[in-house]
Amino acid sequence: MSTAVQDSRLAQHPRVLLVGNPNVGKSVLFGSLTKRYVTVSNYPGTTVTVTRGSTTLGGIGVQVLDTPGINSLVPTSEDEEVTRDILLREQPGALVQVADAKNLRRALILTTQIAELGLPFTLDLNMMDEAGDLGVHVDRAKLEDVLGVRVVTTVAVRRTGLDTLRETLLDQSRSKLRVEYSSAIEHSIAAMEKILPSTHLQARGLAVSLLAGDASLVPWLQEQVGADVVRQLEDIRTRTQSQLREPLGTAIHRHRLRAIDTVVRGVETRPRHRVGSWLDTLGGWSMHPVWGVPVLLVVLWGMYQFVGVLGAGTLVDLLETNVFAHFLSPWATRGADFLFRFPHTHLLDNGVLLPEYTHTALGFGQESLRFFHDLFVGPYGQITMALSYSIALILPIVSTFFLAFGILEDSGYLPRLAVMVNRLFRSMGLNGKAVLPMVLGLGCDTMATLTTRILETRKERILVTLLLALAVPCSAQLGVILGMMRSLSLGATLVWAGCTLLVLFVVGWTAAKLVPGRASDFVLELPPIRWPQLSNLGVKTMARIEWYLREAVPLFLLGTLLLFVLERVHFLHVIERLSAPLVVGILGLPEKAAEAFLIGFLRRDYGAAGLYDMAREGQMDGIQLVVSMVTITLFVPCIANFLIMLKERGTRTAMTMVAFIVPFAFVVGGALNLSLRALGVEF
Amino acid sequence: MPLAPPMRCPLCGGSMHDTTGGCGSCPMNSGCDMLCCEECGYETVKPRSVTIDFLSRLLRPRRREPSAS
Repeated sequence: MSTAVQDSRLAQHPRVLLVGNPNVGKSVLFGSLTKRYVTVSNYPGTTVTVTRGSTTLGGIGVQVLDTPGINSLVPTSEDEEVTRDILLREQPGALVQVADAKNLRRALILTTQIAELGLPFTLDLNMMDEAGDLGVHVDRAKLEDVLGVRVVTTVAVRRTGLDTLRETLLDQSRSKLRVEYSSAIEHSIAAMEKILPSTHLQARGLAVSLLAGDASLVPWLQEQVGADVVRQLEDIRTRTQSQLREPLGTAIHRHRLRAIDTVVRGVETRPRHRVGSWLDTLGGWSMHPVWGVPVLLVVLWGMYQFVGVLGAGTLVDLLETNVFAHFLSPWATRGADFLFRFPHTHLLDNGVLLPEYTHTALGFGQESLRFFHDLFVGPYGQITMALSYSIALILPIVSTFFLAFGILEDSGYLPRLAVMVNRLFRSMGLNGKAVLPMVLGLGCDTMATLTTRILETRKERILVTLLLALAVPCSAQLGVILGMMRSLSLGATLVWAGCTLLVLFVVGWTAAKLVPGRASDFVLELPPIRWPQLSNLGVKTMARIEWYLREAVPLFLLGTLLLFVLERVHFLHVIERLSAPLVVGILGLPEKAAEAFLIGFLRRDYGAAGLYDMAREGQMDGIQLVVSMVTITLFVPCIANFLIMLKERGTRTAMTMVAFIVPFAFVVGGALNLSLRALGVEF
Repeated sequence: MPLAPPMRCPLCGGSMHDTTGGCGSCPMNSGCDMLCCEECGYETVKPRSVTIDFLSRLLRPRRREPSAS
């Protein structure tokens, strides 16, 4: 080991910290720098995960920490607070700021804050290949000269530039970049510097953070200098604010951005932005609070035409009527009749064999044969019901939905929808990242419930879990509902959509008032609106269809088996009779609809499929269809979602939610039924 | 060996990679069909289709073995 290495800061503090904005490739860089085994743990006292790994630098074994992506060291979220605390409490031997080379301006906000804290660091301009593709060029040497720290360029996914980066970690320097503030602010910084504690962080950086309104520093300061000095610091801040017309945080940020813009102008060249392309205009409209609504309606209409009319109409007819009803089911029935012989006669519909049959009194042996016959091809048979529902009825609908959803994902519309919905959700205390799982819930509520982990506050996690379980239909369920809409007028569809949205907002707003806590801010980088690539779309849709077949079909088989067993032990009729006051009396639905709600707990789309089948057979009128659609949308989450709710929110909270959702769904459905009938509405 | 380029998250543009980030540290990663965005948590099915792989293998023109002579 050389003397230079022995003398380096890394030898004294063998710890390398990776910090940077979200989406800059920190984790890929972390994976490239460290050995195979890493530990992931929550940062003490928080739910924020920090990944630790190890590597060797200049013969020294060092720990590498991958911190959460942040936009500022003046924390506004738990993620930012954790990263700032790591800088405050875990003195790093080397610090790497990973930056997206395409977005230097955003990265330099963090750079100026690290510079003010006086921490030696290396600036890593990552994703240089993508910057090059966009025609963005950063003069590395000039930037190095302006900042006074080593600047390296990398493409972490291809492991290029990593050797140079590793070399710089042994010899880092402090940045000479200094942001000049107004005289009032500079005067206050100087006053604070005199009484702030002496640590490995420069007092100027701490002073600027305090002036910018960082209250989260107070507990640490009280440990270091006591309550009296903290009061003096607060007095200085209050005095400074009284001299300014704008909030201190805004003034500091304005000065910082001015300094950054000067740096960026000197080192970066990028092609002039092509203004006015119609895709750009469409992208702008799609997240506009007013124009975004017609864009959303056009998108929904397109989805309805594709999923509801093509998928649920043409393709379901093709598979269900022509393939299953005319060929597969009769063939399977004849096969089962041959294998499991007992005296019976199947009913016919226009010459086509149905699973239903009549029979005479049977002996014990014949009853056993009848059991196996019915298990496969009876009214609740694995082939005649489970496969018919999952393959003929649901598969065409979810396939068309997956394709449509893939187009929304790859076109860049989804994040714009999140921005637009974010504005609406603010009214019910659900701003911030909370929008992301809500949008994801349209794909799968179970996955979306898992992703509520990314939410920073407990309040947001509880609210979003509740709303997902209550009023956000998953892709399969939404597909089936779009199919059911085929038999309905526009008015009925609007009643369903209005009712669901009203419930979402009323429950969300009320719950936000009842659950204590704060909401967090929302920062999302928007990709450009673009044409989806057909090859990507094809692979993605096929991958999702295969996933559906692996995931959902076994549950359909299990659900049908459950119905079959319940019917064999004569308990299905008991359930239908017992639920009749609710299903028939309050909701005004046929008694058989109880089966749909029963299996809806196994999979929401299976429940919806049961109702869809009844609708196709003409067993429900317009009002019954709308009421059943609203009730099944709001009804209890599927079993997978419920298990994840138990795991993520705990037994008590999850059970409370289900105890609220089930009666609530029936109350809303019942109220809708009574209102529509009282008003004499006809669909 | 260089890592395969990550998939871009359809929601936030973050990277989705099955060996790093959220998936790399997940104990259930092996055999999992899902990819998780390390930034916003958006999950999607891995863009890997058995059917398309099979069809492309089937339709790919076979190379002729060079004759020994």
